[in-house]
Amino acid sequence: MENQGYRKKDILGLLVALIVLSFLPLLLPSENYKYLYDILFTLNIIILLSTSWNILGGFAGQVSFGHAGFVGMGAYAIALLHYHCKLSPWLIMPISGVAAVIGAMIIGVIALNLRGPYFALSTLALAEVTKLIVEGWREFTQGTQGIVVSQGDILGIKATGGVYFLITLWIAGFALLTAILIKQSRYNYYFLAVAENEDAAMAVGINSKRFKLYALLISAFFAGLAGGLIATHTGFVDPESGFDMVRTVEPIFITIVGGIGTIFGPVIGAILLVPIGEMLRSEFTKAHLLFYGVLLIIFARFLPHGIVGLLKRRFK
Amino acid sequence: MFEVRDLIGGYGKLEVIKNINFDIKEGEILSIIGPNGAGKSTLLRALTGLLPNLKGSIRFLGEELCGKPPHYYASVGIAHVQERHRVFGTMTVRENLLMGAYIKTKRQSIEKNLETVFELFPRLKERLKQQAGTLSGGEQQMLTIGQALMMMPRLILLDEPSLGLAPLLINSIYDALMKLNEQGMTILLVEQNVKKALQISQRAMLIENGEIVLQGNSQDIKNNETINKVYLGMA
Repeated sequence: MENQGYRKKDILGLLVALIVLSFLPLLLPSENYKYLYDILFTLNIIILLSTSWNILGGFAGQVSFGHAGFVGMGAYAIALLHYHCKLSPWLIMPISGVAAVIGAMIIGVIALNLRGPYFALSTLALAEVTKLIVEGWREFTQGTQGIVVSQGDILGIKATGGVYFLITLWIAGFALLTAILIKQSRYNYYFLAVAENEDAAMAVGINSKRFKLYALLISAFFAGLAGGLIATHTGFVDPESGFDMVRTVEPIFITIVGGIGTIFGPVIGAILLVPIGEMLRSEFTKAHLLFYGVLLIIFARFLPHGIVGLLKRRFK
Repeated sequence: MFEVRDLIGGYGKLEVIKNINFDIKEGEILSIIGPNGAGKSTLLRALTGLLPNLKGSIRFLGEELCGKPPHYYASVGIAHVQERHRVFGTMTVRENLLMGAYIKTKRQSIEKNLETVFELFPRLKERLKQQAGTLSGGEQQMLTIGQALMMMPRLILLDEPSLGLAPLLINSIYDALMKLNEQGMTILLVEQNVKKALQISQRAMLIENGEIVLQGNSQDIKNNETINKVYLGMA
């Protein structure tokens, strides 16, 4: 309530980092560093997804196991519009976020009446149901066959690795900015109150369902965007890859390791884990998940506030 | 000012409270006493919209509240202080108090209310910047009552304010409640500590198995033979 202003340095730091990083494609041309840009794309997407998960799970305390559902909705929104209406995915990218928001509203009506683990499980179930609908509705979605998304040009510019890097960088930056703005606003306290004790929050007059819905919708928007970007980058989406459980699990791991409920926890977690994960992934598929899982157990046991929590304790 | 008529409620098909009828008069302390599991806390949850299956009527200053969502109660001036002093643990004491002022936005009245709370609980002023989760149980109880006062309620519903507290602390909490009542605050007190409850309240009701079995002046109830035997341990 009185911390307005002290986050100014967070916003400034974020903008400086975004601008500096924007010069990277000039220094390292996309043609020579294809693999690097693939990893950087993954990194940005994971920061975006983890920040999305963190707004709902960390700020508002509503643990979601259904983020893969929002990612899939975003991915399919772009793919279907591209397939049926021949629209360039780049022009309609925001629609991926909007589609996930609409999906989240429907899921919210059902899931937000439930609390704690019941909420988490219902999001998991509803994400799975969405996937099954997409799989079964063959005339519209081509079912398990999937849809090809042509990447095309972005307003005349060829979509190289560097371009993908820039776009995802700024979208992830936008998500982080949203997180900072929430943190410094009164809403942070309302989210926190609902997270800590929903009954007590209602007793002081907070409409807890409304604030949980806000957090869910903001979170779903960014998860949907991530889905649209992934589908366009891969150039293909099918139910298996679009609604991949990894998109739920990874953000949870990374947010907890980085520091749940903090602004830059997801960034630190992603920068630390994604490169190691990528190295392991080349050993055998999904090896990185094994590594994340072990790390999660260690952190949950010894460092529940993540790396950011550790740093805060050190430098206080 | 607060009228409850034919209230029936519970969880699922299980009826925990049956046919509850009572009034709270402006300016009084009414205590609800009864053994463990009698339905006291459930009744309080019912009175604040937290119980899903509810039938009957709850009127406050003429307005029907039965069926209204829990967060609505604060806006009409009813504060619910829940059992086991539930504070927002990661927020500071000051932030907790400000959360109480959620429905009030006028800066001036917030400052004035803070002063009122500090007058009642000077200890909270000393701990203003401390994390609420690190307070002692008694301090947390003071904080939840302080938080309730921040919304300038007309009626405070208190659930077992003495639960888990040392006798000395219980006394200071009860002194504060008395002071509040003298200033005109209406209080509904749910309490297992029968002696304390009867001491402080003007009227009392005894609940057993979800039903009101006895209702009257606290003094009369204190002198009631059964109450004496069963609850106060005196022959």
